[in-house]
Amino acid sequence: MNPRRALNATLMLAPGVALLGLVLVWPFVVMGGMSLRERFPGPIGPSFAKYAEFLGDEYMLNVALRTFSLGTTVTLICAVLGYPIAWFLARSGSRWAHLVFLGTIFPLLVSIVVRTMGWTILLGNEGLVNAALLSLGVVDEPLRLMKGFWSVVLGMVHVLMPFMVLSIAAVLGKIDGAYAEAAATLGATPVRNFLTVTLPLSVQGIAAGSVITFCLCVGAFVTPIWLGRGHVTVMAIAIHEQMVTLVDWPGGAASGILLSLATLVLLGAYGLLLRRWSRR
Amino acid sequence: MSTNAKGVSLAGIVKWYGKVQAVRGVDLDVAPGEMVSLLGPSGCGKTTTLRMIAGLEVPDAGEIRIGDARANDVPPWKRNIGMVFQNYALFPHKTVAENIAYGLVMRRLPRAEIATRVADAMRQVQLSGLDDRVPSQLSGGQRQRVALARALVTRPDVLLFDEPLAALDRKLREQMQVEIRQLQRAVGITTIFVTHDQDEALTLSDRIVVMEGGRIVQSGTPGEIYERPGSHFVSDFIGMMNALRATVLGREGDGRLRVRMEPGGRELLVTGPAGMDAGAAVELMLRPEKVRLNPPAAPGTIEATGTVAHVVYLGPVTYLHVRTADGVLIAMLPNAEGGGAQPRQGEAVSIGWRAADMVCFAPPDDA
Repeated sequence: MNPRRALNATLMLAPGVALLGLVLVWPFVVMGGMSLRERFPGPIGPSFAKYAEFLGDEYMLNVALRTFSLGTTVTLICAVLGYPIAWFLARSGSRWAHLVFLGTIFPLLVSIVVRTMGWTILLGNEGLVNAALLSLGVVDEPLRLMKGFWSVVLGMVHVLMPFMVLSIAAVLGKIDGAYAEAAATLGATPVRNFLTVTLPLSVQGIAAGSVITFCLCVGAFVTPIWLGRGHVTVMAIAIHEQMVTLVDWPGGAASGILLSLATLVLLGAYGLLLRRWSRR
Repeated sequence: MSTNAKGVSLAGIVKWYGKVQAVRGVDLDVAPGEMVSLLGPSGCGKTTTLRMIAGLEVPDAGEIRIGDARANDVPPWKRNIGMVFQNYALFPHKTVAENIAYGLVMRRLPRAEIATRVADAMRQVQLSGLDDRVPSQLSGGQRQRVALARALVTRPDVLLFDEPLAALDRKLREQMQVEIRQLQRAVGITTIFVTHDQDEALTLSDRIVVMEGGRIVQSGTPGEIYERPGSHFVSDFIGMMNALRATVLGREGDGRLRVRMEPGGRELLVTGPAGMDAGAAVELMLRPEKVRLNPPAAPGTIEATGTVAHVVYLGPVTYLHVRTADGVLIAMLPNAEGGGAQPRQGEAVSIGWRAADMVCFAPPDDA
């Protein structure tokens, strides 16, 4: 690259890099510094007391486990349910595809609060589902559909499905149809054709969708609070408690850093796994 | 060599795409071990016909038979065919060896046999040592060979090619044509080759099937198609042609047509199809290589004088565009014999050709 083009590239990248530095790197530095104190206000440290506290606290470890189980479950369900939708969008050529597309991205057009409230109206003790079941005499008392892990999963899948579907559809749409045809002429039944050709070629889309879904899910706050009714404490809620209720800023910062690190490690492992599998 | 080669036969095949009839009743018999080219311009239905033989499209009417069995309702994965696609369609996530092994893996052959047959196939197409490359690391010719090996390694009943050489440069294309032909002969496999390139069809085929507008317009050996085209379309599509306008005056006792050339008014006796009435406008087709410079006087030779309007030098041959009283004629002259000087532009020349080399057809509708 000649110096002039290098300069142009630098100028074009500069605003984005500056913004990322401001909203991503700087907060991390502040958080990192905060997490190394024993109390705030107090001496600057450095001390790993808050990290040790977290790792020795069964409650917090359970919260972390719950958070990553939620992320894994939601990502898995989104991938399994989203793949056929993405397939329909990208490959069917159906004239209904644009309607399905609209339906897919519709959850993104509605505020997260409204969407979560909607599920409350459906699933609450006086909600639509229970009202219907009660009036039909199927149950004698309202089912406790909310305040459980699975009601949070339901809400999160609803919110995050579009990211998965669009990521997979983008990749599926670019796969040359001749690959599947070639596999068919070579004797591959439709199922084996899909498993050996189309699925490995679309792994990139599943990976991208999984990263977005998983990250958004482990950082989620509103949906777990509303649909979990205080019974599904995830990391975001626990950090909020530490910071706002207990005013333990170093503790909250340490939890936040650990959440970020654990997420990165899990995603890295996942990426390696997918790469190895698709190369097979 | 192959004793179990199977023939392919199509009877009354019709295919619609929405309101467009892509294939309008194709009948074709390909003998076991024969190599047939489907030749025609884009949109003539040749690729659709091939895809129906592969099972990738289902005909709306007619019957496809592979060997003795009706194949219409057999899905592609049960047809035991090999197909080489236009852009090869090599699996980008698999290595060369895995690509070639794919059909054998799908047939659930023992691992050891797969390894042996893949190695044999790679040797056959001169790819040994490239086992672990992926398609993106290969040249165009190497990809072509992988596609060929992948299609052949399963020992299919029929080998199908869908314009596989279109992406290669000319020299490599000609080399691959010869390789494909030699391999096909050695294996003895029934082969159907779709192309829009007449040279490719002439080089490769036992038989050329020319298609136009969803129909077969002529079928014959390369020599027959070239020397005795059955219609104006075929004569014009294959090779270069002089098309000279003329009017039919009447039919002679021996069946030949008496025609008058326009302009010029020269009267000739030529062979022509039946059903041409006096007064009909026709075109007389004449290959440029049949036109000679300074022809020796002989019975049946037509002579004309004119000036050279344009010279196209192509290495082995030179094309002269000669303006005569009969219209502009293109003559192909070999540049052999010590590279003697050819006439220059504006020079007066004398040319000649035999009336027997002219074929008379009704001009195409759009002319």
